[in-house]
Amino acid sequence: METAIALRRAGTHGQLACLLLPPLLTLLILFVAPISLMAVYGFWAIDENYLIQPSLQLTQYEKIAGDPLYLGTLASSAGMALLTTIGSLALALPLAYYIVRFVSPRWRVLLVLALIVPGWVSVLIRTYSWNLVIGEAGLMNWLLMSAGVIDEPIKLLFTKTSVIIGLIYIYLPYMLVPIYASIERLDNSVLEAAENLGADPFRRFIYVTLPLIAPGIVAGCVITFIPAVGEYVVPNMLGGLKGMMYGNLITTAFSNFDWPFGAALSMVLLASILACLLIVGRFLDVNRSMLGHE
Amino acid sequence: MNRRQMLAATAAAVTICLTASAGWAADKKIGGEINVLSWGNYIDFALPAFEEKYGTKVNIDYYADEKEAMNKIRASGLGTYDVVFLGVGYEEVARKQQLIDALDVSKLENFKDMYAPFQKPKADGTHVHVTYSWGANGLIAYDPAKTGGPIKSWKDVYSGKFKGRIGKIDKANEQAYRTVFQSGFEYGELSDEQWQAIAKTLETDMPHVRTVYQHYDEMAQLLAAGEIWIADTDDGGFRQAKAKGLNIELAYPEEGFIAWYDGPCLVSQAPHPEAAYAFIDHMISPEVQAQLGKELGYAPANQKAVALMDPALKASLGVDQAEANLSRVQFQRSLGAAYEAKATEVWQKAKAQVQ
Repeated sequence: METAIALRRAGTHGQLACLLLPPLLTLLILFVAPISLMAVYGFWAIDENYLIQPSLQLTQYEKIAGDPLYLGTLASSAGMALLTTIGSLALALPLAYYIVRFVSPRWRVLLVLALIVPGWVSVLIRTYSWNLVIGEAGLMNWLLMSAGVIDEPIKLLFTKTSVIIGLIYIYLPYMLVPIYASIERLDNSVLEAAENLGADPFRRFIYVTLPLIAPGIVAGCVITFIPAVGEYVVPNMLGGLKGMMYGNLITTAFSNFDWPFGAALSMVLLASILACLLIVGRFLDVNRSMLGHE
Repeated sequence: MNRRQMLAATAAAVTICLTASAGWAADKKIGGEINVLSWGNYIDFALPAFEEKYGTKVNIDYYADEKEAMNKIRASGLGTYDVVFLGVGYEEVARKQQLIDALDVSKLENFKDMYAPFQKPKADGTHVHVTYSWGANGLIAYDPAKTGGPIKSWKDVYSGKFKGRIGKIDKANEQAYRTVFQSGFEYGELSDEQWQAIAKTLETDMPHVRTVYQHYDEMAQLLAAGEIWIADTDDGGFRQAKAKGLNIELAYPEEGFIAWYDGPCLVSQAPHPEAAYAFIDHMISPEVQAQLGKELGYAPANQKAVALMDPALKASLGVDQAEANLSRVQFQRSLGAAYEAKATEVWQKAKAQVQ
């Protein structure tokens, strides 16, 4: 009997291993290997002929630490990504709440799709379209001047504001989807219980809805903030001189053949993002314990 | 048949044979395909004639700059690409990195017709590229209607009258030599003090700059939209923008400018060497070189192309002064990784200070 159970267990483990092997291998080849290689490159250097010299050294990291350009740009990129995250959250939260609570199920999916579908178009094209809208001779200035609201065109293109607008436009669906999913999963009976106990809509939202959808909000913030920090297409096209972000420094290093320096810059970005995630994770645990969740 | 008739018949037969063999040679088909790395919209106009002549399909992979092209060769491995277009010293870097082979120019029928400076080998006696196009860089394009008069120098550009209306090309190397001339230095390796002076000049210039752009198509759009009135350009970039109907003029800055060249190189371990040589020869043929001026506004590197150009095109490209210009101008060259790293650092800092 025991032998039969052991055999069955071994069989189950074997099947599990067979199932897990392909995704594990994929992860190893497509994620772990390139990142590890990048980490190694960060300790190398290039010679006068742009050839990589695989000798262990800290030159690249010393260069990053010793020049305020790099860490300063990283900090300003984090600031811009934070503004993007806050802006996206401010738009996505009421939008998702409205769609779930006030739109009939029949129209709900269509509305969400309408918000996501533009995301299927290339980032390059979508960003360029903003160029045509907010440019000096663009649609926005034409409308405002035609309506007599302004006499001189507004110089919005090639400013930090235009980069933030572009980033919010690109990353809004990333924020919307997890928040929408968490609001849709809300248990109505909990909200009804809060109402029965005398909570007005505002208190119900703050003390019941918000804590329950917090994981969706955090997920949305994380998947918006992380790619936004390393962004380089939007700042390039909409920011001009004013929008340089950390991603542009990484691109320049790689395009200059300086792979070791590009790798070191990338590893600093990765480490900074991991540190942010650890802080957020810690904050979440505190929140959970305060709210009495597991 | 008498002797005279016999001779005539023999001569006729020989003529027919020679004509037939010449025709066969001209129509010699290589077939297959060839993989080429090039700038976008740079060689495309010349491809149908090559494909028809040799029956060889050209697969183009576009790049944004030479470094990307070389990264692509390295990343995809030798044996993938046949020909890569490199210029302004990058062919020397690519050779040192063993990404391209020396060219046997005796296999290129049109090479003998190139202007003399373009037939000169490198210091080691080898040829690693042939010149497809050449021109001047470090120039200024401006909209005279907006500037209210001609621009002649960098001093005019940064006089303060055009603050917030200037566009710069986002290439560290180009910014380095533009500022070298603006600061009154010679093109070449620079001392620490000179780099500091260049950084200082850029620091003073940058608050006047509205934006930077990656390529000259973008420059044309910015000028057309009125976002900028004055822009960094090269002669080809200017002519292409002008051909789009822009009301712009070209200035060769009084402080100095530089010449550039660009052309095809044979990638190491090219999988289709015969087609690669035929392709390179085609790109420097008089017909393609003449068409290059018409399509993209670049002066020809092959002297025989001049005869195929109409007078207006010749005048706009200044081909009559080509030989004199070639003997006078200084060409860009590779100044090494340390120079490039310093140029990048100075340029990045100049951009960052206006954040």
